[in-house]
Amino acid sequence: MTEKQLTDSEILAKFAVTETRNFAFNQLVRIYQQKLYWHIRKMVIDHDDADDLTQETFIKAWKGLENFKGESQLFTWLYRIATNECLNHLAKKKRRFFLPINDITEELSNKLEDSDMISGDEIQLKLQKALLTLPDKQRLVFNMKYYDEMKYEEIAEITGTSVGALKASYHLAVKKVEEHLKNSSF
Amino acid sequence: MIGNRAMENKKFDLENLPRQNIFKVPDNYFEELPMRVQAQTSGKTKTVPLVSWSKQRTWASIAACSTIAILGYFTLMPKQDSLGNEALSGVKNTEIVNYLIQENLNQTDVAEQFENNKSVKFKDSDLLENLKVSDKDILQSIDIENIQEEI
Repeated sequence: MTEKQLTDSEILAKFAVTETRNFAFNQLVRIYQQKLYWHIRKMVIDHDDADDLTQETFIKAWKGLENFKGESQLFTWLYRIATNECLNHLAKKKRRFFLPINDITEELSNKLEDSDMISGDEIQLKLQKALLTLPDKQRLVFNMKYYDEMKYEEIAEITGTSVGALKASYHLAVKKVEEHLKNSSF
Repeated sequence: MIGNRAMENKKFDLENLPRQNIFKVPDNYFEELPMRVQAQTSGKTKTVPLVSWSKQRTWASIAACSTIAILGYFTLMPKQDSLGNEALSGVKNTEIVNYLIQENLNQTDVAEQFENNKSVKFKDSDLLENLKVSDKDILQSIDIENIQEEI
């Protein structure tokens, strides 16, 4: 027997009541965990990092949900938290090792090759490596548009960037990735 | 096949490439994640007020430490300077004189002490004289030391 999935407004209503708070949040995690995890995983590549950041995202959501005013969709709000977590994590990584961007790219690229948590044909692996050459924010926009097939308006709400800037950023990202793949040997 | 289609006319076209997720997760990961999250959130119900309180407490601690340091500087430091004068201000001159007499400290003692110190100063040269080291020997020893250092 499958449980009926709660709507965002039902989750928020149940979360507001102390007795049903845990149940409501558990439902929220079940509904959004995969989307958030894959969003984070594509950015940080490593499963353990993605696991930590996904949990951290939900913990922050737990702390902030009481003050969530419903001005945006719950999903958009959660995506925004996850996005910030990813960008902070990558920025911290760069600061911690005092490494230039290229070295971080190489580190993530090595993870793509070495991890047993990754499988795919050669061209998909090359695409992921090409994406790592993009700046973090541009890679983020590319992932949301290309893989998650989100609307520019939704991405704009998450990133706080204008639709026009996002269109330009995505267009440039596609060109850079295609150029990178064309130049790499097949 | 897919690669060839995407590479048509020597131009790579991302739109012709299937959107594939190459990442994997451990078995039952998504079944277990909600419980792991809940295990963390169940102990964090009161963390929100704790965080803000902690910030306030930190600032209060800094302010308190600064106040103590400033008060300490303006109250304790001058007291230490005046300690000797204040302590002696309650002692009469006659009592001080009596104390010195009792300790048998008079001008003769002080003079003798001075003479003793003087004789100690001359003892080093006496020692050199006893060794009977000539000026020539001293100069030679200096030369050897220099040669050894150069080697």
